[in-house]
Amino acid sequence: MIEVYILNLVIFISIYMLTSVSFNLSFGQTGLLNLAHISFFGLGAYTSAILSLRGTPFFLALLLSGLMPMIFAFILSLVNRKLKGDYFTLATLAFAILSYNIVLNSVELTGGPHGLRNIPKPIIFGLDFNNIFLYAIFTVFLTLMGVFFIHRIAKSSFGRVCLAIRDNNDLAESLGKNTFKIKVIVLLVASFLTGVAGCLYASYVTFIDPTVFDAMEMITILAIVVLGGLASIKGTIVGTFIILMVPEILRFLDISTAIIGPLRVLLYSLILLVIIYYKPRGLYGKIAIE
Amino acid sequence: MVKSQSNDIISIENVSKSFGGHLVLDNCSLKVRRNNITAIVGPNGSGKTTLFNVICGSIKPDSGDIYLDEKNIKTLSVNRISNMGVSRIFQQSSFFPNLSIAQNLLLAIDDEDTKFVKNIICAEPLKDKEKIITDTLRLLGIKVNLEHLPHELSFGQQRIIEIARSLIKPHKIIIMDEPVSGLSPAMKKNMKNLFLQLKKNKETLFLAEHDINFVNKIADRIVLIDKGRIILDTTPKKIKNKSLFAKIYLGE
Amino acid sequence: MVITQFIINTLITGSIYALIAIGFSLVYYVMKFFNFAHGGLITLSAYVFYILVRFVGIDLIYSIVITLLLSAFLGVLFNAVVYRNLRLKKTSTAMLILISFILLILFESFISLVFGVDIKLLFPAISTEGLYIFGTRITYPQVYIILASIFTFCTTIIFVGYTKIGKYMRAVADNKELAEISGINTERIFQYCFILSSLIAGISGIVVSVEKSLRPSIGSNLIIKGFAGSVAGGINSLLGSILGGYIIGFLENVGVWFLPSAYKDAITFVVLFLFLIFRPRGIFGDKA
Repeated sequence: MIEVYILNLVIFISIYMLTSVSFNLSFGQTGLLNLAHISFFGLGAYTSAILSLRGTPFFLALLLSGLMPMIFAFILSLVNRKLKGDYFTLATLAFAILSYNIVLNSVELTGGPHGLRNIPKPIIFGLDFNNIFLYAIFTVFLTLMGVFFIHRIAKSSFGRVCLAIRDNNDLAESLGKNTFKIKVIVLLVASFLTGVAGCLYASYVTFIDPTVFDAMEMITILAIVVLGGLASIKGTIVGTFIILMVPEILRFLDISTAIIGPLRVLLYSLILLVIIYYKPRGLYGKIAIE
Repeated sequence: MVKSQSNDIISIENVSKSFGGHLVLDNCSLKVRRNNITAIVGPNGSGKTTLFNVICGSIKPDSGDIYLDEKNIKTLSVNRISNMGVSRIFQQSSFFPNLSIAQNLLLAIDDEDTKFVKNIICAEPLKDKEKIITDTLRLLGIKVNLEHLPHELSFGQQRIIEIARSLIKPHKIIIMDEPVSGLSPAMKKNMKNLFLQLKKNKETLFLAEHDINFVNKIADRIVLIDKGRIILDTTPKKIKNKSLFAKIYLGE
Repeated sequence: MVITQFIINTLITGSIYALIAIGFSLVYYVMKFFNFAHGGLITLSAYVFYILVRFVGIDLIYSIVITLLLSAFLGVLFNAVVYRNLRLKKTSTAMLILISFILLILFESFISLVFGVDIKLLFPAISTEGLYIFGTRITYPQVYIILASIFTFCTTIIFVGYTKIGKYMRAVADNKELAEISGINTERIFQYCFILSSLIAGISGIVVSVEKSLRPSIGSNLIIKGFAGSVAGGINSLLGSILGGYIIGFLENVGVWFLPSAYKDAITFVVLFLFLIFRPRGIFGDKA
């Protein structure tokens, strides 16, 4: 039984890690505070759920879960064309909150508040991934690929331009960098990987509801990235472990499941505020959140 | 038919700009000649920085045209104009504060770093890039620890690094907004020699300055601007009438 | 008549959104930052009012007063404890948005914990008798909502436009440094601004409690509608924000004719998005 518990934790940590490392690329590295990042996750989860329930082969569903949020990422990134960064953040905030409501209310497509259930587990190469061990390996594999990909980006000269944009957008422009194009690319990459994470989540839990779109979940991702330290992949990885321990500790303390949900969000919010206030670099960040 | 290259790298024609009803640039026209040092002089608020902003594309003029190498750049974006060969030094020291001096300078070398796919697949030619940086710094005669962050440098060092950056960046002209303001007389003397050396190296400089004495020593052309209007466009030799300067600086 | 129903619906929805918009944009106008925690205060006020009327059984009038007092108190507390410190640290606008978002979520999770996530309805504690206008029914509570909104708009505009404190607020809004040099105590003005804004949040919460079913996330949703209204009307214009709120209400009610009602919120997003891209200063805002 303990192996199931650990494997379950491994899968969740991987999914959150992939999501958070993507967010770190757009926020920590490039300075894009995309509060709709969670919506990308939700879009991926629902896309894969709806497609799988209609019999789409898993790998195709996985791919489309990554592609679907890219459409919205692109639309949101258009705000960056002529306006300062704050406008982008505001647009993403509006998108995050409103998309949750839309998903909550559209019953035919998304099942409304009851969500979608009985999502089929993936069958790849004839292997049935109902086996949690196989699924954990698969998830960890995809997560490592995603994290490695982002690591490549972050350490490359492209990654350096991202840091430059974060530090001083106007100076980057005057040095000839097309900051709009770069921001679009960053958001497309982040949204793709997060959509994939959403698909992994939906196929594992086999039941999703609008909470995958809930802006409250954005707090978890923010807490992970801010605690770990901006622009630090190592920090995000460590941060994922620490932040995901909180609900486990609460469970251990025998706190009722109904309360754990909002309680952990409350705790994450407080952790965030404390870190922003007292330790803006988090654990491993070379850049302070300011 | 071979088109002969005009002597003027930048040509500003009848440019006007208002902000909230206030006319900041009033029908300005001027030409910046190649391999020359052109200086624009005027009191605070006369429109120097706005003029630079218009040339570099961060502000669009209400009317008039701006030509760079005979191409009209009026509607182009900042990064497009920059890539056409305009290097700029701002009035306030401008860096990427969380990046080292080395990284700050690496960003200026070219814009291959904005190519996503290429940079994921290929490694960066760091050795070549570092050589460009060290050569330029040697040319300018400055020694700094490249791993330092910008705020760890003195103001004078920062300004020279900014000049290094504008030289490293592929450019046809360097536009400088008050490059020697706030520097000690000794540093100003160094800068004077540096600018003359740059001119010998066939650089084109267009700078805005307060210090008329400094400008007189290095500029080939001096343009006087006041309240958004170009008043005088001449050479240092022809400016014998010092009272004209005084009149403008103390206000009419 | 269908058209009367439409007008009444628009008036009710628009009034709610306009109320939220003016409370929100008042803070932006004077203090130049987006206080999304305003949505949290609205949610809290709505729940407190609901509990007071439905469970504690206090008379409507006293419930209203208590809710408003609580709201004003919390608002001032937040300003004094959280925002003032951030101002002193010269926090960037992006960070202020982030922090007000975190506070919004903090409110939401707190309310989920204390009141539960199930949906709550104030009816039948409130009467649903009403009037009939041109064959359409409007309940008395709904009439009061519209009247309360108009009252709030007029009071706020008169206050900001014609009182001494209002004049100082406008001075600080126009140019904070100049106002300070002229001897205005800007921190005190910020406090007044927050008191007024929080009172409006309290009124908004009561109105929401009367008209809508409550769930912890309702404040987030409404503050975005109020924000969209402010952007559409003109973020720097109080009158514009009111108008913007009604515009959003109007468009939503028009939209449900053509779209499935689930996509109602998409209308708000599209309006906000289009304004941000094409006219960020809104209809009545000046080019800041």
